[in-house]
Amino acid sequence: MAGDIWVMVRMKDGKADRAARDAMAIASAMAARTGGQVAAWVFGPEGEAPAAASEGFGGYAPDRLYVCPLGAGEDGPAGLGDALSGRRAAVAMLARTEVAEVGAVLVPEGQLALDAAAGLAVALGGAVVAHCRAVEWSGREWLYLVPAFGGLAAIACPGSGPQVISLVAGAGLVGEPAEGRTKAPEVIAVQAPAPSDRDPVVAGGPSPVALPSDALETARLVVAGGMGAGDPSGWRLISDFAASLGAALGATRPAVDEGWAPAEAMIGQSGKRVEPEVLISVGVSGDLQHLVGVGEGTTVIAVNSDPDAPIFGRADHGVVGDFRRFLPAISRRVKSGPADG
Amino acid sequence: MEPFTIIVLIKPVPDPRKSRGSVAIDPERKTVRRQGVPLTINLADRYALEAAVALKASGVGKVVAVAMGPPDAEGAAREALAIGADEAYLLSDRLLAGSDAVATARALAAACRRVGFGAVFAGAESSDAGTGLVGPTMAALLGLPHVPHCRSIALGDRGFEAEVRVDGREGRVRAGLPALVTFDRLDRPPKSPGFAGVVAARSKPFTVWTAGDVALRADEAGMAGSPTVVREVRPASTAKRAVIIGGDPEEVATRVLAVLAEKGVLSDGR
Amino acid sequence: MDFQFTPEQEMLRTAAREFAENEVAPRVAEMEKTGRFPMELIKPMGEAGFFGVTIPVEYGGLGLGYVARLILLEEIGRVSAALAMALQVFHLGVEPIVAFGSEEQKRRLLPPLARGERLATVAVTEAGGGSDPSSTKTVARFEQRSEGDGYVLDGRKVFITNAHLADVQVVLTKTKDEPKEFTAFIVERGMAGFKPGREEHKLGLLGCDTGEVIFEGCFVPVANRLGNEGDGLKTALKAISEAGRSGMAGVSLGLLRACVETAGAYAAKREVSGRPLNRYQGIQWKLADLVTDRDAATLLSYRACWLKDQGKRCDVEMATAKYFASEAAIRAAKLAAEVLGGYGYMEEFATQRYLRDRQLMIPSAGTSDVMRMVIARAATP
Ligand SMILES: Cc1cc2nc3c(=O)[nH]c(=O)nc-3n(C[C@H](O)[C@H](O)[C@@H](O)COP(=O)(O)OP(=O)(O)OC[C@H]3O[C@@H](n4cnc5c(N)ncnc54)[C@H](O)[C@@H]3O)c2cc1C
Ligand SMILES: Cc1cc2nc3c(=O)[nH]c(=O)nc-3n(C[C@H](O)[C@H](O)[C@H](O)COP(=O)(O)OP(=O)(O)OC[C@H]3O[C@@H](n4cnc5c(N)ncnc54)[C@H](O)[C@@H]3O)c2cc1C
Repeated sequence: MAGDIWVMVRMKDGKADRAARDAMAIASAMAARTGGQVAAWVFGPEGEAPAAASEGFGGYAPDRLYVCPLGAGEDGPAGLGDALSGRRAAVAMLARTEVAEVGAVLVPEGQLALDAAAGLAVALGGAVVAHCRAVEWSGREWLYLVPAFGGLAAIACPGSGPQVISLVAGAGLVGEPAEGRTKAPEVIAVQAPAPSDRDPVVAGGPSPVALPSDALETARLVVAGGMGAGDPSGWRLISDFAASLGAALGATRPAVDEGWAPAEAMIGQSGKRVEPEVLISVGVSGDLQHLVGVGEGTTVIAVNSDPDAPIFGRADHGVVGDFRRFLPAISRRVKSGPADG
Repeated sequence: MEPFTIIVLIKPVPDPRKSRGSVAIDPERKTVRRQGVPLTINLADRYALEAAVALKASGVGKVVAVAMGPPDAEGAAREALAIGADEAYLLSDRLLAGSDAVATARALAAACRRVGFGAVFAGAESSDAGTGLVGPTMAALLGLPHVPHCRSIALGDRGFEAEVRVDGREGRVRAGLPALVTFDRLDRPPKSPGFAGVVAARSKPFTVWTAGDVALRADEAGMAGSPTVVREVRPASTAKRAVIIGGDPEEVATRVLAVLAEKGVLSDGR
Repeated sequence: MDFQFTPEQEMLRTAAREFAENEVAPRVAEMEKTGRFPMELIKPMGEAGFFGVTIPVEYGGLGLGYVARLILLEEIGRVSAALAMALQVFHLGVEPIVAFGSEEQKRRLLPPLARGERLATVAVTEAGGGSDPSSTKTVARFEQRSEGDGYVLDGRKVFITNAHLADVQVVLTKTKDEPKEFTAFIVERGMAGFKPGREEHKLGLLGCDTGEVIFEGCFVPVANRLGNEGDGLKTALKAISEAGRSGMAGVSLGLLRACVETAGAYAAKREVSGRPLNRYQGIQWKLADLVTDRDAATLLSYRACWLKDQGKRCDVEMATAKYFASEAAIRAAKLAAEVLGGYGYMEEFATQRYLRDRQLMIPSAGTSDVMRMVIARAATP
């Protein structure tokens, strides 16, 4: 791989979001190997870009900072229209590839980035990697680690085309230091490409609503249940337990597939990302595809009958045994008033 | 509007009802093993298929299912006919084995061109590999607008109008034809084809295509045409980090509640 | 020999299973609570073709035959024996018309029955006894009328499945006071003097309608006589011995499957002294008996239905299938409940329902004693 490393940055409340810092650190390490530059792309109002650079990048400033006011128009910033502008984002970025060769593009997971990533890969003849949770230098090439088959698959892109990598929140860099970069970036304003009939448009009628980030995403205490529930009666026990603690109830994908919990409750790669203070995991094996949905800052207490379940590799506290034995005792104690022991 | 064809991409995936949900890996290719395991239609694709079939009432001429997979995937293609597709194609060729998302999208796009279409429907994400890349990549390859995460869809005089749920926002989105629409898994179960559907499928055309039939070159398809390779699959780390809380349920309750109290997450502030 | 289902049969099974799990399973609790038949399922079952499985294509059915019907009943029965029971009797009501109906009757009656727009049953049993039709007291008297000739029916049938749902009922009557002289009629809803009577309250199979039908001077036109005068017993017995027995075998198979799955899953999950139950020999023996019974019942039942579909003689085979599968279901519900221990008796666990549902597998379509009478003939040189 040769050339520049590009990073797509997602803005939240006028700042680069949390994922941007991790992505910039990875980009910095990659650029050190290619000898290229780091360029950040901010899609949003121009005024926000410098703030994004100084506050969001955590000491990994890019060499160039492209600012493209995409979607800042009729639908308002961060609206549904923005999320559907991936094709135009790709067009804006492609217009700059004549200036420099692109080695890799790091994008945060999300619809805009996904459509943009596909557009870039197709136009540039490159590769796309989805759900990347860590980037590792093998000594010969970059490996992108993605959850697979209960473990991690290490994916490489041996071709000469650019490597478009979609990073999950909290994606890390393995075995390679990232040097800080403090030089103030060159800020380059890029015009938003005009919409075309190749873009879906937000239809008239009731304006799109932001779904209330539900109880699960805002809760400070979450109980997540899995297939270990065994049957609907086991699931009821888990959901009663959550209710007794005033916790929001989450689920693994198989538990949703069983129909025990609604799709909205799914935590993980195909579902939600949560970061409560504490998560009590019940009958969950701890597959990465589930755990990528649990924030790093969360204290995890796991109840699982298998002492070798991978969940104990992530949990801070473990209870080994049948949840049916333990949950009722905890619920009872909560109901009976302040803990005395 | 002239009646047009909707192509629905149906991915043959290991049947979770028959393979106990575990997806096995082929140790050589390092891809999902689909040969010799019972296959079915990826769940999200069934909602895409249902939506396409329902649109036949509002002027869609024909619904064509297109799948890429091993010969065993014929059953999944026939399932699509039972659910209501009018024709089905299975793109099946050793040359295509090991295709990554880009190569898969390229092969499917070639098949779509050969069939001809006014719209392409697909799932937002498969249940086995689940990259979610195929839809967006095909939209880019075919030069179509992409309507993502569709939950319901209608056909108006200006094209599709879809309810979508994207990145925590919900709204109505319009796209002119031709368009590519990807569908989410919904909370309700998909409709069963019933015995009537299975019987109706008997007389519907089913065709197997090779890479050559859709004018794919060897270097565009399969492992050779895939810009990504899986170098290795690492088992989950078995390192234990959790401090095990032992004892009888009462002792465990005390210790767990102590952790919750320390973190201040009990509702009454304990 | 080939013991595999065809790919199409596998698809039928998947379709039936999806229907059972997605549409029927969510309604079981309500059926248990109210005892009512889930009327809202009639339309989707009709669209799925479940009422017309055995009705020939030329009369609007699917013409799939008895193996397909067995697959359907097994899959529905796995989730709800009550609904499978109702369905098997809807088919049973159709079969005499398919086998003995005139061309006119078939054209008129079968298409709406195939679509589920009208529903059918068979009314044979009377208070005087079910196994012995010779005690039948319902009489049909020939009468000439200006609007056309017909018969006037008087009598009462009991324990009739779908009594209150069926629009079309095949009714066994006596036209002469001679031991073998029976005649069957197709009585339709709306005919004056025909009405459903009491609704029975049962121990199990809740949600499957069982009750009385009453004929009080009910005039049935000649066009609705099934076959000739005197053909009635043959008509009823053929339907019961083929469609009825294989139907009950299907319901029993569903129950057997449910028992194996419930007990197997529980034994794998439930731990006693740190070991899952299925590692204890006592439990293993029960599981082994459950599986063996299920498999034996499966083989007997599919063989019988296969013979029927081949147009071969199958009376004894139908009887062995019905006898073995129903008795095996009785054993299975007991074993499954035992594997679940105390939980097996609790409302949250399905085994208590299996215990209540199982008992009706025996009397319907002929008790085990009647089956053994039929089967014993096969041993007679
Ligand atoms: C764990 C894992 C990670 C992977 N990561 C990558 C990666 O990062 N980059 C990469 O390029 N490849 C990757 N692959 C390989 C790649 O995902 C698949 O092999 C490729 O075929 C795309 O499938 P998908 O299931 O991811 O498609 P998705 O994009 O998840 O599928 C979406 C929809 O596309 C349609 N579709 C997909 N495949 C077919 C098909 N065969 N026939 C008909 N319709 C279809 C269906 O409508 C489906 O619902 C990965 C594979 C695995 C197992
Ligand atoms: C493309 C793709 C995307 C995916 N996305 C997601 C996702 O977003 N979210 C997600 O959750 N999964 C996802 N998965 C599925 C994921 O790979 C795992 O299969 C899943 O997380 C496992 O769920 P589980 O822990 O509930 O079940 P299992 O792995 O079956 O684990 C059950 C656990 O319960 C324990 N147990 C059993 N009985 C008891 C008892 N009585 N008491 C206590 N413990 C007990 C067992 O020891 C076991 O560890 C995805 C998979 C794929 C292929």
